[in-house]
Formats: sequence, C-alpha cells, structure tokens
Amino acid sequence: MMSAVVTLEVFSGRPDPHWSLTAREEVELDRRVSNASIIRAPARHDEPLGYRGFRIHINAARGRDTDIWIYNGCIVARGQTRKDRGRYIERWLLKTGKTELPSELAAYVDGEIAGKP
Amino acid sequence: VPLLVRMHVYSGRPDPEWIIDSNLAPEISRLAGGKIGIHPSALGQLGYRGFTVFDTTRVNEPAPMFTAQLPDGAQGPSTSIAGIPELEAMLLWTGRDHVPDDLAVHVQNRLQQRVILRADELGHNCPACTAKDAPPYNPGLWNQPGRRAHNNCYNYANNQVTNSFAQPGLASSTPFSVIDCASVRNSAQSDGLTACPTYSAYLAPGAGWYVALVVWPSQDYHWYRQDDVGCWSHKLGRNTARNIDDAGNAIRDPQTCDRGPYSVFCTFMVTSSAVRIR
Repeated sequence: MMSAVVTLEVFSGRPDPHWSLTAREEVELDRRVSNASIIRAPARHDEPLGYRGFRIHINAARGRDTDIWIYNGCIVARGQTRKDRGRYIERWLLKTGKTELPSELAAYVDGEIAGKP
Repeated sequence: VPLLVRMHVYSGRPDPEWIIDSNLAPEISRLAGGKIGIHPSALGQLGYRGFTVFDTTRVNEPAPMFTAQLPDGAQGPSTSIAGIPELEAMLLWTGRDHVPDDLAVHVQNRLQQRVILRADELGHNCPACTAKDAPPYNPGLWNQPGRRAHNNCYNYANNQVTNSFAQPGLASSTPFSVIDCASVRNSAQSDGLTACPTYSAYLAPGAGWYVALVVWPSQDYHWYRQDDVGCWSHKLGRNTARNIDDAGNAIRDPQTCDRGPYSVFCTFMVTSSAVRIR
C-alpha cells in the first residue's frame, strides 16, 4: 500500500493546499507518469509568485518515499524529466483536488495552466 | 572529440565522471551564455556544486571548456557550471546511466532551489538603505533542505527561522480572519511591527528594518524585506528566497516590482529583532 499526498504550490504566506489521492487515483497517476515520454530537455525551474505546480509525495509502505514534481508541462521524478504533453496531468491533478480547493483558486490555477501551453 | 563531464558533488569520494559526444558542445555553449561561475554554490557548498566539462583532446591535461573569474573576494578562476539550471539539468541527463537515482534526486532538488544573485546588478541603482539593522541577503540560510519548506515569507521578512510557517498575529493571539490589507496588517501590528508610509526614514541601530506587505485578494498575503544593499528580497512560501521579482529583475521598490497575482500593495512596515512571530 502507498499513500500519495498532492500539494498545490501556490501560496507564499498561507500554507499550500494539499489533499490525498484515492487508491484509484494513485494507480492512474502512476500510469500517466509512466506513459509520459522521457525527454532530454530539462524541466523549467520557474518559481513565480502564484501557481508553481504540483508536488506529489508518495509514502511507500516498502522502499523509499518519493516526490514527483509536475509543472509547466514537465514531470520530474526519480532524477528523470518527462513531458506532460498538453499539460494533461496538471489538469487532471487539479481535478482531483476540486473538493479541497476554493472555486476561485481552482479557476485561477486552471487559467494559469491554460495560459502556458 | 569526446567531452568529459565531471559532477562536483562529493567530498571524500571521487566525483562522478562520464563521456559525452562532442556534438553537444554547441548546445552547452549556447546554454552557458557566458554566465559560468557566478553562483555561490560554486564557492564551496557541501553536496552538489556544479559541473565542469573538459575537452579531452589533450589526453594528459584535459582542458575545461569554460573558465570565469569569480566575484570579488573568492579564489578564482572557476571552471564550474553552476547557477544555470537549464544547462545543469541537461548535463545531469547526459549522466543518467552513471548517476545513481538518489544522487540524481539530490541534484534535481538543488536545481529547483534556484537562486539568481545578479551580483552585477545589485549595489547599482538600488535605493539607499537607511535602516542600520537591515539584514544582508543570505539565501543560503533559508534554502537549506529541511528549513526551506518550513519557513515562509513572514519568517523571511522578520529574519526569524521558526520552522513553523509563521502566520501574522499567531504569536500575539490576533490571527487574521480574512485576507485583506487591513486584517493582515493589524495581525502583524499585534506581533510588534509598525506601519509606515515610506522606507526612507533613518532607523538607528536597534530600531529595525523595513518590510512590505502585499495581498492577493481573498487568497494570500506576501512580504518583502529591504536588505542592507538597499534592494529588496523575499521568500516564496515553501520555495526559495531570492532577490529578483517575477520578471527576473532586481527589486528596487516592492510597490512597482512584478508581483504576479499579489496585485494589492498594502503598506511598508518596520520590524525588528524584538518582534516575536510564530
């Protein structure tokens, strides 16, 4: 068994919102990340004020914990960079938090993702 | 002619090295853009410190592709490629068959803690700093793993590491209830900060330094602080401390810098080492 906690990196003063993925969502995340192609182009390292991506902390029952970072069409996991084509994983992760996020904040993040294809 | 890549990371063991094809040289040069060796991590941090790329034409004496003079006060010249995350990430990728996963994660984490010093700009065109207690810009203190994620902009502005993600008013039992200028300012005032119209008045030793409060309406607040060089710096929540704004420019005035969604400038304030935050 694993547990995966998604943190939306967006705030500066207040703590960032976070939520847990369901078991089904964890499987879906693993599938989406595994299917993403490994790229040579490095991940971008923008850290602007406001939306800065999703960080997923995977607490493994066996083995080491893992962090996955997804932002701006790139996935950084286990020392590899992959392409989140069309930023579909970012959009999907935002949907997994829809019950945790204020609608105004979710709309802002959705707009940020849409604005940087 | 193959190139030799050396990752500077270990202290006791030999650093990892691997060979890459010379057809990557133009891309390396393009990404380098003449910026080699200006990053403080090249100056002796433990753990990942950058790369050097060698031309192996001279077998007995591999020559670094790049050299650069280090900032004043440092020993030089440097051959380290550091402070250029796009290039460093590419070099890390070329070593994917030579670098263990956990070491690659360490390097990736360091690369994500980008700090742009722009030492060439700071000290020029910064406003005067009239606060004798103004702290120096010292991002290394704040960007350490284990500290970075537990201290926010309020910690940074007050120059106090609490590892509690400090909130205005919490230490004085006056937390804000809504996110607007008046509420957050009142909570900060109850912690001991004082509002002021500008940052030009002289502050004697012991009187503190200037900070600035801005708000993303209904969502969040953010703080900047004036460093002893006169320009301003800030820390983005659990992310890095830096002295540039969202447009990549030195922050000469938080009223006019690029603040992303934090669209409302609230006020300047004075804080000091006597202020208690939690």
